[in-house]
Amino acid sequence: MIIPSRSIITVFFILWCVLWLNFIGRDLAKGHKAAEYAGLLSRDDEGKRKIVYGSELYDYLVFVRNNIPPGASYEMVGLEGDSLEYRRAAYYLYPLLPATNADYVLVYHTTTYARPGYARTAMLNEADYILRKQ
Amino acid sequence: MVTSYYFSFWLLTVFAIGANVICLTDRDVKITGLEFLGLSFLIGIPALSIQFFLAGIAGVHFSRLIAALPWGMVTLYTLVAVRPWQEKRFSFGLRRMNLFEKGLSGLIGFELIYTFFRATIKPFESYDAVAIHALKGKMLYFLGTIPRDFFKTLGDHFQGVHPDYPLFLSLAETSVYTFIGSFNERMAGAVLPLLLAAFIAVFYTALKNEGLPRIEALLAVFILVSVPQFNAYATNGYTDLPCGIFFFCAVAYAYKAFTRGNSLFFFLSFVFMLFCLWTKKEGQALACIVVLTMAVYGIRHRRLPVSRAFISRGGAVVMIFLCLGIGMFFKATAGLTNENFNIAMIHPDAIRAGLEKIPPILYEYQKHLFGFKKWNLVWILALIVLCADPRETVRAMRGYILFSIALFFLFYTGMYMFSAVDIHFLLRTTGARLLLHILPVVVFLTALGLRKYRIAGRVRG
Repeated sequence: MIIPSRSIITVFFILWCVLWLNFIGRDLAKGHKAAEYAGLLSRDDEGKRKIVYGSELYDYLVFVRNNIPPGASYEMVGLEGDSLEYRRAAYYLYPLLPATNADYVLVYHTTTYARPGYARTAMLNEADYILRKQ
Repeated sequence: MVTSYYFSFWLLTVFAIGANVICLTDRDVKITGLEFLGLSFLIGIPALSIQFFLAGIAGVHFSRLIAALPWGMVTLYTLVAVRPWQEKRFSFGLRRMNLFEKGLSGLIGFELIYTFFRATIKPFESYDAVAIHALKGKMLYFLGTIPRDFFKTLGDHFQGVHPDYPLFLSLAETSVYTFIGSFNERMAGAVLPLLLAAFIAVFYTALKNEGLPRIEALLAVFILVSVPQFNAYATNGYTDLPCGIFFFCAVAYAYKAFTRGNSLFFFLSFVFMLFCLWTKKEGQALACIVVLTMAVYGIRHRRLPVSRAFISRGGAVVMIFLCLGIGMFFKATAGLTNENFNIAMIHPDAIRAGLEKIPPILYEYQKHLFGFKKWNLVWILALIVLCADPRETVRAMRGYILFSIALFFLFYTGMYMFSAVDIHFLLRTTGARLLLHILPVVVFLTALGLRKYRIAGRVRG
C-alpha cells in the first residue's frame, strides 16, 4: 500500500504550516502573549516577576520579605495550599519556610482574621497583613 | 557580563563532560559533526547533575572548582591520549542547501530561537516548576550541598513537592546557579531549550544515518519541534521533555546497535536509560521498555555477533537494575515514597478497579490523537503511516521501535489503571505531557516509514 506521494506530502506540509502559524498567531494575539512579552522585555528581573505573579501577590510577597527576619517560619492564610499562587509564594519566599505553629501568619486578601497568641505586626492594607507569635 | 562569562564556563564544562565520554568510548570515531556536538550536551548536562548529586550526598559543598576540575583533568588526558583534533570528530560535511532546505532550516531556527526567548524571558512560574523542580533547585543552591535532612525538610514543610522525584532538572539548575554565582532563574531557564537544541542535532543525524535525504530529515525535525505541546515543554521547567529526549536516545541507539552491530551504541543506549531513571519516576518504566526490547532482539537474533555483543554487555543491564535498586534503597532509607503510583498499589482489588478505568484512559488517548490544538496533525500522520502497512513495519528492523511504542502504551496504561489518584484528575493533569515521552520515537518511526513507502513508490512507479 503506497499512500504518501509527493503531492500528498506537499498538501500535508502546507496544512501543517497553516495550523502551526495559526497556533502561534492565536497564542500571541488572543492569548495576549505579544502584549505580555512586550511588557516583560522592558522590565528587570523583579519587574518580570511582578508581571508573571500579578502585582497584588508580588507586592504582598515583597512586603512579607521586608517584614520577616531571615530564618523565620510562616503559615499562609487566604491562599489554598494546592493553588498555583501558594506554590509561587512558597517558592519566592524561600529560605523562609512554611510550617504549622509558625513564627508568623501571613494573611492575604482576608479582612478579618485573628488567631489567639498572635498579634498584627505589619500591614500592607486592610486585607493583607502579617501576624506575629507573641 | 560576569554572569555571561560564567554561564559560558558552564556550557564549556557540560560540553567537555559529554565530549570526553564520547572520545574515550568511541575509539572508531563513529560519532562526528553535529551528532558529536548535540550528544556532548545531551550527555554533559545530566552527567553534571549526577555529579552534583554525588558530591551533595557526600557532603561536599557545591562549587565551580569541584564541578569542573575533574573534567579538566580528564580533558587533558583525552587531549594527550586520544588526540581528537586528529580524528574526523569535527567534520560537519556541509553541503549547499537548496531553497526548500534553507526554508526548513530557517523555520527550525525560528522555532528554536522563539523557544529560547519564551524560556528565558521570565522567571519560573508554572505549577510543577515552582512547586517541585525549581524549588528544589533554589533550595539546593542556597544550602550549597544536600544535607542529610534535606528530603525530610522538603516533605515536612512543602505540600506536593514530591521529595521522591529524581533531581535531574533541579540539580542542573543548581549547577547553573553555582557556576554563575547567583540565583538567576532566567539563566537556569536556558537548560531546557539547550537540551532541545542538542536533541535536534541528534534527531536530525539519527534520521540522516538511517538513509533519509537531508530534505526529509529536516522536514521530520520541523514537524517535531513545531508541535505546540513539544516546544512549550522546553520553556516551562517541567521534566517531561528531557525524559522524552533521553528515551528517544535510548531507543534510537539501541536500534542503531541492532542495525549496525556496534556495541558502542548499546553503551550509549544504556547511558540514556540511566538518564531516564535520573529524570522522572516514569523513567523506570522507560528504561525497562528499552531493556525488554533489547532482550527480545537478543533472543531472536542470538546467532548474530551483535547479539553476542549485547549478551556480553549483559553487565550493563545488571548495572541498570543495580542503579534502580540503589535508587530504591536510597529512597527507602530516606523515607521517600511515590504517593501517585507504587508497586504496593498492584493487588487483586486494584486490578478490578483498574479495568473500570480503561474507558476514560482510551477516551483520553483518542482526545489527543484527534485534538490538534496541542499536537497539530502529528498523531494522525503517525497513525496513517503506521497503519499503511503494519506487517511490513513489524517484519522490518523498525518493528523493534514499534514494539517499544506498544510497550510504552501498555506500561503507561497500567500505571493509570493502578494509580491511587482519581483517574479523571490524573488524566487531566498528566495525559498530555506524558505523551511527550513517546512523541520523538513516534515521529522517528513515522519518518522511517514514510521513507520506506516513498522508496517503494519510486520503485513501483
